[in-house]
Amino acid sequence: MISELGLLFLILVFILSSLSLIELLVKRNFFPIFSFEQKKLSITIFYLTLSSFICLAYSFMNSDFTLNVISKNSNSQLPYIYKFTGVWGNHEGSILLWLLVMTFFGFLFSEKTQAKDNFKNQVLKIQNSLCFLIVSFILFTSNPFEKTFPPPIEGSDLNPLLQDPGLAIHPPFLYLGYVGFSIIYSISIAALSCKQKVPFIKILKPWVFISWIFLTCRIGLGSWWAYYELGWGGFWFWDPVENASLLPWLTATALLHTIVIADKKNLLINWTIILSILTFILSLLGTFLVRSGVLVSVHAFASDHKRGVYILLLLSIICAFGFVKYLKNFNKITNQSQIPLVSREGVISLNNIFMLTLTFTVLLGTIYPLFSSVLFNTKISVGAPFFNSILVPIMFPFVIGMIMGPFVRWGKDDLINIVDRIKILLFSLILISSVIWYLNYKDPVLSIIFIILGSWVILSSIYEIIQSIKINRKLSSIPKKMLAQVFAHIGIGLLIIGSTGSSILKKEKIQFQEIGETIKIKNFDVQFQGVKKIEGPNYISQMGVFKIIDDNNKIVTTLKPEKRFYNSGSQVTTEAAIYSTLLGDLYIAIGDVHKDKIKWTTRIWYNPYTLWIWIGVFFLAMGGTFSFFNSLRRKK
Amino acid sequence: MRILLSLIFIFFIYVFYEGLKKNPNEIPSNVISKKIPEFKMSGFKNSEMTNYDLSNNEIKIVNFFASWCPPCQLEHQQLEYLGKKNLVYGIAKKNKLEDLKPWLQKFGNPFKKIGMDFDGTVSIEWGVYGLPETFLIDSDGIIKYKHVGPIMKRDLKEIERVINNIK
Repeated sequence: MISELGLLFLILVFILSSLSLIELLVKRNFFPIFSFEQKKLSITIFYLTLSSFICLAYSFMNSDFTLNVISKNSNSQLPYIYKFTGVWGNHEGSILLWLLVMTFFGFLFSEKTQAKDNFKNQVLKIQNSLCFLIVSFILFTSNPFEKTFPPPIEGSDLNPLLQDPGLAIHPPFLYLGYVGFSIIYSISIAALSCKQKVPFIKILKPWVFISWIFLTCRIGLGSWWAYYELGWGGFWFWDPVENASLLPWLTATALLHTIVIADKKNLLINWTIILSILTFILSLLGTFLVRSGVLVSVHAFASDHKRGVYILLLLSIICAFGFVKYLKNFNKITNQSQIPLVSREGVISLNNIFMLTLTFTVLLGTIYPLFSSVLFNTKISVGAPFFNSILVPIMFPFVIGMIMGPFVRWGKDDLINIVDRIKILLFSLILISSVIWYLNYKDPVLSIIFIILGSWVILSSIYEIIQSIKINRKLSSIPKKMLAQVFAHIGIGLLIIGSTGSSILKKEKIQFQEIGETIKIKNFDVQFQGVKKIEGPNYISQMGVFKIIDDNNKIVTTLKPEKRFYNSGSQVTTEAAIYSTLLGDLYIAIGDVHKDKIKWTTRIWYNPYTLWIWIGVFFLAMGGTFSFFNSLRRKK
Repeated sequence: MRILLSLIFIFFIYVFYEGLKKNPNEIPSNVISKKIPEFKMSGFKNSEMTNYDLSNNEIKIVNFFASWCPPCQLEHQQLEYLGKKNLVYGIAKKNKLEDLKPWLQKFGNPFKKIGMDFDGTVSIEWGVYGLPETFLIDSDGIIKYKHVGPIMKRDLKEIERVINNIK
């Protein structure tokens, strides 16, 4: 009964959102009966989708196995929290979550944003039409309320990899980020369609920041999950799924730099619109690549030809609509003016060039296997070495820009002047480089260079704050804008150091370890004490016990990596045990027992500075948050 | 400019659409369309097995398996089914005789002949990197098709199609 109700709500969303689409395509005065107030429509669509989602969640909580998705992705033994997160732990439910977030953004926009009525109407019309595309995707190819007959007595399980708090909250973040870009797309297209010039940049700004924050957090969460759950000792593998989320993040990062110029100087308006459209399209492309099964990836979504075709159709429509609108109307908002290279605008434009270079390189590497398979019928795999080697040369100018950028004046500046202004900074950069080189000269050269680059970014950001305090003589008077930028840049600096440590500098030992045997790694002795059998709520676990002893013969901690065997579905997961310090992580994963029953495969890593990655992501998100509140305040 | 952009757009959509029809998990094999490699190993019942065993004028199925490989149990029924109409040969990789005997007694023996690849060298010659793997060989001794992983019921259709094509 509840599930029928959920389906009914979805059908209503389908009908109501189709009205927006009709109005978007047909001239308003052509069919006066189709004229609706978009605001009311948006709010209704949101509440209907929410109700439908609640119906699905209710069915999941009550293990209603008559529904196909629930019988395949849930189980009556499952802890309640995972019964709930199981709602989006499958294709159908996650697309419903997508729709929910999309309608929620429409709802927020209609309630919170102050703009002229006809502009607002136009934005919501586009947003609701996007909702129409998604809801028809749900109804025609991925209906979560589809029944199964005869209903099974017990469901199969939620994929054990998903039974983890990190992954349970990652899809909502993903959608808040990905789908947040839908409203940015709608605002940009609406700005193109309106007859007169609209000051849409100020309206666009907070949405860019909020979506960017969510996408940043989501990439951080995803990497964190991969780090401790996959048991491979790394956090980023250049898997198509990871790349798919990185692509819109890169263009969104370019966008949030550009939008500052657009807002302040009324320049690069066209470029802002292109980036907005591109970012949303890349989000959709990511969804296509992941969901359709065209690429091999760690994310094993049940791929389905029909769904792939539909997402491709959706992608083409949205892409074509965006670019046709742009090509038709861009003349209206063009204001030609030169941007001098040595100026804040110039440096930010350079940042954009680097960001886009990086985007297209990653895109190329991600989809090239597909192109080569279709066009030349040869199988190729593009892996981490490609991406890593491409990243290195791009990083240099990128970091130099990041260091200099904040000290370059708006309008026009002079190189000699800039150097004069930051000579103390330059001196300290040289000093810190020599210190780092001296302390680490035995390490690989590339790692020293990257750590120096990272510390440059952090140091110059701190210097910026000190300068500001010097001028204003008060902590509270530091401009929010600067705080945002400083936080985000420090975040990037930490990320550079963290990822260098955990890739180039990592130490790895894989062996059969006998009970009682001690393995030395870095300055730790890892003593294997044996394996315990532990019973979890719906799994049995083999838990290895390792004593960690430091240089001074003191026991630092005991690490307990697990190998879990889930009762239903016979799946196995590894839970790595990690001892984190600022200097590095000691990371242990346990494998199978040897034939002799006293040796076990153990994999022990020492990953320097990995903690800095997560702190870096936190700093990035903080920077975004400052910008977000700043953009809200300025609007008022 | 607009035409160029449209062409690029259509090209991308075309490639993605065609890509949907392909299976990215399919990994091409070097041994396809080549003659079976030469090999010689001891057989399961004290005799020998060599490439000459596979040189008769019929279509042959060669299955690499082992009693220690759980997925190999999954395909056993399908192999028995295929064995009714075709010649199925088995090559047991790194398998001890005393382990294999009870295993075959328990699950049945669909193989016309079994070779014992004790040290795994024959498997390397055939480019086998995981178990089970199955090869279809035509009457001239040319490898026509390779299936990686257990043959499930849903795979039978494709395999029978290939067999009919070779005929």
